[in-house]
Amino acid sequence: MPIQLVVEDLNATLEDKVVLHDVAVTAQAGHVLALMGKTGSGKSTFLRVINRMAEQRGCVVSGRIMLDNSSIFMQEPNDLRRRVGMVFTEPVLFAGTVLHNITAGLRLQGIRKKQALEERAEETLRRMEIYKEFRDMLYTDSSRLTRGQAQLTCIARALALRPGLLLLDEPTRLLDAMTSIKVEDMLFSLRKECTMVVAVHSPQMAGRIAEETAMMEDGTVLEWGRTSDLFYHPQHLHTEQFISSRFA
Amino acid sequence: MKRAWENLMRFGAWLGGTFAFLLTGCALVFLLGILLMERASAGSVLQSVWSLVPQGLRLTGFTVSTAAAAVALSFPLAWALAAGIAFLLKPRWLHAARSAVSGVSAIPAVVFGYLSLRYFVPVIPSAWWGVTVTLILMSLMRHTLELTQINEQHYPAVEAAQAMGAYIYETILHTVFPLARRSYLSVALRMMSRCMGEGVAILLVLSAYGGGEDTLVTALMQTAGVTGVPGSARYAILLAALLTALIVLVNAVISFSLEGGRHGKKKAAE
Amino acid sequence: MEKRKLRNNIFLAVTILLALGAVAMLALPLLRLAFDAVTALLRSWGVLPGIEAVIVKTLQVLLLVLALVLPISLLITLWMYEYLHGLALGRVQRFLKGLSRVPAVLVGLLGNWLISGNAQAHGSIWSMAALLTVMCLPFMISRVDAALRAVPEKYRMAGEALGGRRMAVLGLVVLPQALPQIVRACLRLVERILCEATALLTLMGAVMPDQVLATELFRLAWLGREDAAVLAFGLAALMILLRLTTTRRWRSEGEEANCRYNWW
Repeated sequence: MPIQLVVEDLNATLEDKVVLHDVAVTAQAGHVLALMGKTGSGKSTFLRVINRMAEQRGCVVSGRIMLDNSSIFMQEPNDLRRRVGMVFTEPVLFAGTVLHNITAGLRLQGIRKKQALEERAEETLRRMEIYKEFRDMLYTDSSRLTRGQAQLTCIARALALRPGLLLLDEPTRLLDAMTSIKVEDMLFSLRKECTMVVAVHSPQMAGRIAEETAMMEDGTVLEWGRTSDLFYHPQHLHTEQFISSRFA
Repeated sequence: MKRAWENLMRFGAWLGGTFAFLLTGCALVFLLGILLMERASAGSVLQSVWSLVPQGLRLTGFTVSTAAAAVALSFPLAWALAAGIAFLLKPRWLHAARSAVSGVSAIPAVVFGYLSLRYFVPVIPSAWWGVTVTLILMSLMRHTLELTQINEQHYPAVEAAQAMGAYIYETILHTVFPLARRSYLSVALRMMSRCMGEGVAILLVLSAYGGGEDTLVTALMQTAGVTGVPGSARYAILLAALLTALIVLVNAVISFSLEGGRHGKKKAAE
Repeated sequence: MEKRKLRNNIFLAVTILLALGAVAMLALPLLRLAFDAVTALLRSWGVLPGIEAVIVKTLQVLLLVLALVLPISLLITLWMYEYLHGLALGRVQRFLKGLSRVPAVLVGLLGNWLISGNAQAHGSIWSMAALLTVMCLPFMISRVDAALRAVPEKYRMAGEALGGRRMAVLGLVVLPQALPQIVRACLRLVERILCEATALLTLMGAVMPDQVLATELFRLAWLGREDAAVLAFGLAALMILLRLTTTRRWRSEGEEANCRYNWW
């Protein structure tokens, strides 16, 4: 079931440097929220704050982050990450087969029965509409996959845990155009099953998949709202420049 | 003058950084010494040890001179072989050459000693040269592998230089050497350390020369009674202390050549 | 459903055990036959008499040292990986490197003193195994530690992002990634154990017959025996074969393709 994310007054500092400042956004349940901004604007940090990975690296966080009206700070990080999945820019495949990778999250949480793992993997791949493509490679070594297949495997790995919220950090930045479109279509079709917050490297991707978009710069949200409003009536100069790729 | 002082300070810092090893080495020798001395005959310990110092220094000289000569003669040969494999060999022979170098480096020291005893010692009249040739053989077999790995790490730089029209000797001289010189130095020092620490192979070779010459390690082995009657405990303490001091010094210089250089670059960048 | 599954598991377990027993009944005598054939041939030529005892003793020492070093080094390395950071880690790593550079002759001398009151202990498997364990532990800990730390941080992050606890991520994600390097380290350990002669000779305090392969070669060469050449050749061939297994077998496809840059 998709969950709602509400962030208010979020501030974060890392080694005495302010990395996030007064961030406030909402991702409605079943929607896709895109985070736009140049490199170093705080998109990745924001995602890592939500699943509490930033704290483990020494980030000091304050503010309200609510998942379906319960604060993330009231939950154990490991339990939180079972409800909040994450996909990184670079596909990170573990040693073993493709099936091994897709079910890695389940095994890390103690589910070891082979039949249960296989069923969950199949169900996940069917939801992603890539079962036919992956059916014959489930027992192939993961090192043989192309980059696009590797990223799809990583997304399947995150979705296998049935998270209510999925965080994606520029998932298509390292992929070719055709594979990127494929991944975007798949994410768009899955949004009713889990809410997504996607850090995007291009405004076009935000335009294609997101209902809401937030423009970030220097660790703060310049503006956010419906994607169509942001794109056609940007309030901020930097937003307009980023969308039109014009930098004076 | 200022630079020399800075280098001396840095060397001192890194020498201090190997304090843990120094402590362990000295503790080992001290413990050995004290416990062995309990079995020693009556008499002043310091006086007895002092009388053995000239002998100890002679052995140290033999050990260091043979090791240094072996490194000086074997390093160019090993480097040439490594450079040939890394830069000159055609790709289809590469894997076979690497496997050969890797396999040969696994041969035990006692086999080298036997090879030297059987094939080189009969034609070498002097014990010093017999030991040096054995150490050259060992260094060639053991360290070509390391040098090949270092050279291969810099192959992309060689390709980039060659793409600009440089000949192979220019790329090696102006591209590889500046990048790899610290690694080469540390390999040479490790060769030195291994040559000084070699025991069983040298013992075999020296057995053919009828005694009289020894390295620190073979003398230590003989004090344990490996080749006959066990030697004096005080002699063993002295030799162990000299060997430990030599090894610590070489290891400190290795650390300095690797990490002191990096520290220097960092300071320059600041 | 549960009873059927239980019966199925029992059936599988019994079948597998019986199959393993059959393999052992066939393979062990064949291996023993090969061993006896080679040693009988050597005996008939008058070459390397008593080599059977030497080979058996070498294998015993090897297995004993592996049984001691592998679990201890793995446990210490996992502890270091989880609990040592920054300066303390640097110091411990440097200390271990220093320990692994202690000359073998000094360790042998110390061992010789420790067992000097007991004449039988000088040539015993236990004293040799203990000495080799002390010598090989720092080396193995350094190698396994390097293998674990060579696994990029992104793997650990990916494991944590899936909600795995620290030890689960270490065991199920980091360790499998480091496994090829750890296996290579184990094979290097085997090489070290088989090749060590200086420390063992110093420990024994005399050139004793019927010990391990390396010291036996020294003894034969010292006595000027011709059959030392056979043993030298055999030992060199064994070590080369062992090393070639390492360089070929445990390389991944990516490393194969990238041969020029990353082949060890």
